Amino acid sequence: MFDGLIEGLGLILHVQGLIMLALGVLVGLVFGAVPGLGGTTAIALLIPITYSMQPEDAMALAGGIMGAVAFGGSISAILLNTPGTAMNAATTFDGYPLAQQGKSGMAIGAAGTASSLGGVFGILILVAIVPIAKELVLAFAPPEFFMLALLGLAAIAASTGGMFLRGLIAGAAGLIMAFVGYDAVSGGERFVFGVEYLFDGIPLVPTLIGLFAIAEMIRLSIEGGTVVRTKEFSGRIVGVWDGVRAVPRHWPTVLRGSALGAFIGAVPGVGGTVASFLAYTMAQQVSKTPEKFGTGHIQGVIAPESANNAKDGGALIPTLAFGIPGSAEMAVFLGLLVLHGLEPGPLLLIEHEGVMFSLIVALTISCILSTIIGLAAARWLSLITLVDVHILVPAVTAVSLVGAYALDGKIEDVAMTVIAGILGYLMIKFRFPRVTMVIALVLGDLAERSFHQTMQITDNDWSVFVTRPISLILFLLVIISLLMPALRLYLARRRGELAEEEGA
Amino acid sequence: MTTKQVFGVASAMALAMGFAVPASAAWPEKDINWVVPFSPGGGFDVYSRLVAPFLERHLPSKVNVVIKNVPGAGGRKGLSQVYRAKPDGYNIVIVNVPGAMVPPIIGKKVSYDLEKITWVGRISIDSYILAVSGKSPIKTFGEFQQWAKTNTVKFPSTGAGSTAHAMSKVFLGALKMKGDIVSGYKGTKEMTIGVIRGDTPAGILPSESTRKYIESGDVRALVSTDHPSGYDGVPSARDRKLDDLDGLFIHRLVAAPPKLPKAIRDMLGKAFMAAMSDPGLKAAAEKAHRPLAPLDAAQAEAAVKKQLALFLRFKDDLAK
Repeated sequence: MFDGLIEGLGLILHVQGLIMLALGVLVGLVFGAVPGLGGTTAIALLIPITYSMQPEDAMALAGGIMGAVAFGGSISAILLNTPGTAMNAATTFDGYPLAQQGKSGMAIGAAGTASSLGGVFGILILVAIVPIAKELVLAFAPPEFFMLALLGLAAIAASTGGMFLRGLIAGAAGLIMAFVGYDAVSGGERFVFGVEYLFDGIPLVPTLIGLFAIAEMIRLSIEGGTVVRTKEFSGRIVGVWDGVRAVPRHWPTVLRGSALGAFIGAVPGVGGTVASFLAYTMAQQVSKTPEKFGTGHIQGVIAPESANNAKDGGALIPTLAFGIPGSAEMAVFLGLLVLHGLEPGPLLLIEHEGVMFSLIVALTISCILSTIIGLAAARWLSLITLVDVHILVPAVTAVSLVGAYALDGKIEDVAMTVIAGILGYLMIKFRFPRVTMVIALVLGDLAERSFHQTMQITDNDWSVFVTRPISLILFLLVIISLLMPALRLYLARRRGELAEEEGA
Repeated sequence: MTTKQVFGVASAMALAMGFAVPASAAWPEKDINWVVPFSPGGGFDVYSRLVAPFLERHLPSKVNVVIKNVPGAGGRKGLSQVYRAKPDGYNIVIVNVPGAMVPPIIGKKVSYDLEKITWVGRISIDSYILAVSGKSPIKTFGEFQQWAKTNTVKFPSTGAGSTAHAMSKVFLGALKMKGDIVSGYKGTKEMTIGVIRGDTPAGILPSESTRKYIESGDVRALVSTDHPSGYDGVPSARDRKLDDLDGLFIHRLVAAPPKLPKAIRDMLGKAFMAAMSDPGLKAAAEKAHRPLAPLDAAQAEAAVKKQLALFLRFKDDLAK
């Protein structure tokens, strides 16, 4: 393996490779930042360009893109409450409030650093796990997928803080939205109403853009002003370095987020969005001050950003070990590999060790390089938060709608974005958390499909969820998640009572 | 004649000439859309991206062939889109046969008719294998038949109405076995991993896509619809006298909207066959481990008819 690493390094560290890498990083940052575009689109667009390239240069380009997209997306998530990609949605929860307090520089600094560290950590995990990659991937079957989805849904309950009931309602609405479309299990259409567009279900990205970006733009245009709300704001953007320094201070959060991200990234089909949400809620759960989450707590930015970069390292595990894409970007990336004669599968790591390591090296360098570039630009980017709403709203709305269209070239996606935007604004107005709806929308399909598959495989034997070891562990985690809020309340009251007694 | 009259006659003549010259004489004048009705990265997408550049090279004039992914509805969306497009030679689509035939056979309404579509040619085929996990105690087809007498057969699929589902039902019918189909897998790769993992005791998988897993020992092939099977020690359906399964393949074909004018059809067909014989394409296909099995338009149409007839024999099995 060491030889492969040396070979990989050698293949990348020459002028052509580094140029490709830098190009990939720039493309990744931009595609990540613009809502609706993303890593998948970037790689798909670049496939024809790589035809005539050497495989290692194509790897440098792809690695550059993959490492930069998540950070690019966090920039728009923080500045405009618009997740650049679905996996940045969790970054908006604390990133945008920070921007509203004039601390967008700090948020971007933290996001960038967390992305770097998370990405590198994810790759370390990848390299460490490669020997047992196969067994790990095979250990996760439909029962475990269902439990993972359930864990994510349980995280909904935990993340709503004081709005438990509203959170559940929004989550339930999200589940209904998730079930729209053609059901692979029964072969029937649900809630499609004969509209061909809905056949494949309600698409996630336009809904996200609508619920967060458009809704925020509607709110801003009604309330006026700028993104930054605090009156004492001096007008200077500082704090990028503060944000950078905050990350190592919260190193447990980084580690937890990265581990979670790599782990979930390795499970095919679950993906970066789930990883970032789970990392966020986990950070909230283990924190001593969970109520601060959602108001601009820096850990709320660090956790999801570590996770959504670590997931790339994780997603490479099934991709390289089996040729099973661990995420949508990986699926397109696999197509790229095939075109270059690198047939992904059990033999890939053995036959093409050097080229694979060149990808890993590229990904590592990209995580770091994209952060450096992004941070350098952070100060200027933060100025967006000072732009008056009359300019900001039309600009962001236009970019968001174009992004929604750019996704698949469907005008219906734009309509969906607008509808979701109106819905999102109503949810803001009537104080319903949008996060629970989004988590449910993301996980509903996976949860249902995995459950039905499990039932079909085991002939309706429910005990399988607790007899399989990993499934059992996940199930216990679900129970803990659901009980955590109640447990905290109880402990807090107890502490309150004890304090009273002592004070009396 | 006055200047006005001359002008009038001249423009009338120009107009008439404009209408008289058949549009096809200049084809192609702009970029051609090659629609892939599936997401990027999959088998149909890879084959399309392999062939498109070579098709470009052999067209009568210099235009681009642009791949457009239009996923949705199991491939029906992209196919319908091109089927309904103007037959002007600027839209072609890669088609999955018998996949595209399954929805109408099981009674779903579709907006395309494979008997009216204009076939351009065939790119490749793949046979199907009955496979078990490498860790399975079942080592041969005979043992599987024995095992099936006392156990419930289960196969994975990607969903009712998918090619995988249809093939599974066809195999069950041809092998005269009762069984269940566990659907909901996202794609062929996920199905393959499911078989390796042991979610289901066996699976019906496309041969070429599974080859690398067989070579690594993760999957064991028991019987193949191809003759010879293509794997050492594995019988073909013909060897085992399973005539219903013999010759059951998935074809990747290129098609254009119906009623394509003959002139364009001929030019397109010629360019396609020239691309398929291009040594550059052959080399690229080999590098990507994607075998080619080209057929021209007429042969492709015959192959489609044959496959449709074969498939219709299983109409009842599919409807179950």
